[in-house]
Amino acid sequence: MAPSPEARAALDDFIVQLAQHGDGLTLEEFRLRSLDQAQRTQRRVRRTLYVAGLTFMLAILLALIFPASFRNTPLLWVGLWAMSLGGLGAIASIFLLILKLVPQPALHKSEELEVFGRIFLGCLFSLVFAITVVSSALMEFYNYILAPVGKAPSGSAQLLLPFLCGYSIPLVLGILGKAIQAVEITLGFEDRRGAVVTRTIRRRGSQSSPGTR
Amino acid sequence: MAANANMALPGIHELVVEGESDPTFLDDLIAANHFKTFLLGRGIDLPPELMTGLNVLMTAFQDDVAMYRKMSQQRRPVQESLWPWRRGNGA
Repeated sequence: MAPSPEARAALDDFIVQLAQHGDGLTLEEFRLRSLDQAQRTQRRVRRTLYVAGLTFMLAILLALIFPASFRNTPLLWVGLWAMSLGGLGAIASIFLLILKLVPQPALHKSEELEVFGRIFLGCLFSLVFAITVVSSALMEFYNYILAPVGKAPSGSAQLLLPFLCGYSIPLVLGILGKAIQAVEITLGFEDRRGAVVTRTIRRRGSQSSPGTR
Repeated sequence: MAANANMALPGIHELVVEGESDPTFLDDLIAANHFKTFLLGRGIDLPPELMTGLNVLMTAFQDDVAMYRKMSQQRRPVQESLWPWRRGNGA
């Protein structure tokens, strides 16, 4: 049976109406091949998350159980610990995103790349920040694990930084932004220096006339 | 617009004509039905004319739709499993 021109016109009309209600979604995302591809991508992404999550958890457990293996290379332990925490942070964040977007119609190829990229960036940023910013806190933690005597190391926020770097990309971008700003000010870039001078003058002005407020 | 659609759907017998079924039409119809189900699942209210109209079309072409679904399932590429013991089973 072939559709009559009236049936074709009616269907086109319905498609337009559906797109109007779809808030940016199009018919393409609901075609059989798109749904099939989305299902396969989703399966692959889920599998990646499980495998990567278990691997990172295993790495953390190994680092906790066998800390003495890194006695000669404590920085390697710090790197492994930070990367595993960062990877777990990224996976936790992706899981939350996936759980939130349950009625999502299709998971595209690009989103698969996003998931891999997110885990990779989580590991990368955690490693960089752990080694450059909180290495002393992590070394202290490592020494405590190696010989758990005395008081436990304080500064839990610092110890959590690798996980947070993996979990939140905006946090990493914020830290990087601040670092870039600091470098720009140190190097004396024109626009930043102007801002600092203005701020200093304003501060001086407010100090010299406290009674005016 | 919805009124026009309703006028274009007087009855099932007038929706079909003799001849070969149109794969593009069937693909669009199935996708539109999925789209409708998705929107309803999200709690979006759709015009009753749209719901009725799509149901009428689905009923009119149900045999062709079933055949088209079957054919697309057969044409689906074999899925490669990452797990070695499931490779080759299409799992």
